[in-house]
Amino acid sequence: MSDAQESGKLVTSLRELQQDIPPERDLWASIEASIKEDVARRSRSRLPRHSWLLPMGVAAATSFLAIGLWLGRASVDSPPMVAQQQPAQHVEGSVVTAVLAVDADYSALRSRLEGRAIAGLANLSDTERQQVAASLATIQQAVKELETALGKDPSNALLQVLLVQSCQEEMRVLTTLERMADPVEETSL
Amino acid sequence: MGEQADPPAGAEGPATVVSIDQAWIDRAKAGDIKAFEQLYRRHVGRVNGLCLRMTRDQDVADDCVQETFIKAWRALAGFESRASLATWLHRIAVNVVLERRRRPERREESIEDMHDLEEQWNLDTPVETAELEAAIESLPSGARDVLLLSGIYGYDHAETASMLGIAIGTCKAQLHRARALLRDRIEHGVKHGASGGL
Repeated sequence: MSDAQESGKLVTSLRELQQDIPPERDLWASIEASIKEDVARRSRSRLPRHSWLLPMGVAAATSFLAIGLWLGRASVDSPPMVAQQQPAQHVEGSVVTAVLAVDADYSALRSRLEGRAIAGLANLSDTERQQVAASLATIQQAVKELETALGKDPSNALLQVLLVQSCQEEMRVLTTLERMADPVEETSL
Repeated sequence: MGEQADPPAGAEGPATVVSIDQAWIDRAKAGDIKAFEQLYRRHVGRVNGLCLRMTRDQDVADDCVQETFIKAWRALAGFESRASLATWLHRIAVNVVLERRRRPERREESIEDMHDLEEQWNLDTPVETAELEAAIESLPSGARDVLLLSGIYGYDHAETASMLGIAIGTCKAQLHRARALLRDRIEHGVKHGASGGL
């Protein structure tokens, strides 16, 4: 047989060899596990920087709802309000966030309200007191976290709005609690 | 007209394979792992065939096959639909095997391993085929790689050279050398010439 014939035969023999050789064991399970791990890792890394905003927002919303319900009940039981002062309404615009943090009047008013609010809490039943205290703590924690976040990203409009809303909600709760502690003084303001 | 049946296994032409693949590829690109499993099932034999022949070790080949499909999943978004998935997977598999060869912990092949390999091929294959496979296994890795891609899987010189990262001229020379060595090994028996490894 000539070299060319031998070569041709060899080429044909090679082409006739089996191209598909199934693996001895199913490899899919470990491939799938790696892929799922990879997918999970990628979705974790795709979370936005402020991913904590969502759970915090939910917590704050839940607190607002609980306090709102409680406020509704409290307003039915308490005497009519006369010229109620809303300290939080002093805050306006996006620069409020910076002002809130440093405004001495705001801080003084808030401290005074907080002191009286504690007395107001005493007038509540144990269950109500626990609920309001927990909700207030959640709001105050949210305010702290928002202030910290704004320190890193001062121009973030969403953070500014959330901070203003949280501060307003805190003040509303504190004012109502203060009213419950000493309704006579409140009406004389 | 009756319901259209799926083509029987082994009766799919290239166009059918590509169109069936395309549906699974589109779904897998959208994150459907089950669709990717279908692609795995359709192509694993061909990928394993190449990895096993290049590595000459079933365990190493298994690792390479797994790594190939994991890399394919990660890179699937960049896969162009007009290309052949089978070729694309082979390209990844060749890279995986070559990368593995470059690792420093590469172990030397023992005579015992070679006996195991011959036994693997002897299980279901005719004597002539087994002899040919054994002769291919005995080739030096560079010549063997070219022979596998060009001789068995039918890639042309340009594709083979591109997959292996060598020049076309080198590819042709290696193929010539591989065929000459193969003829010699078949004529004089495999035992005297085993060299190279993963």
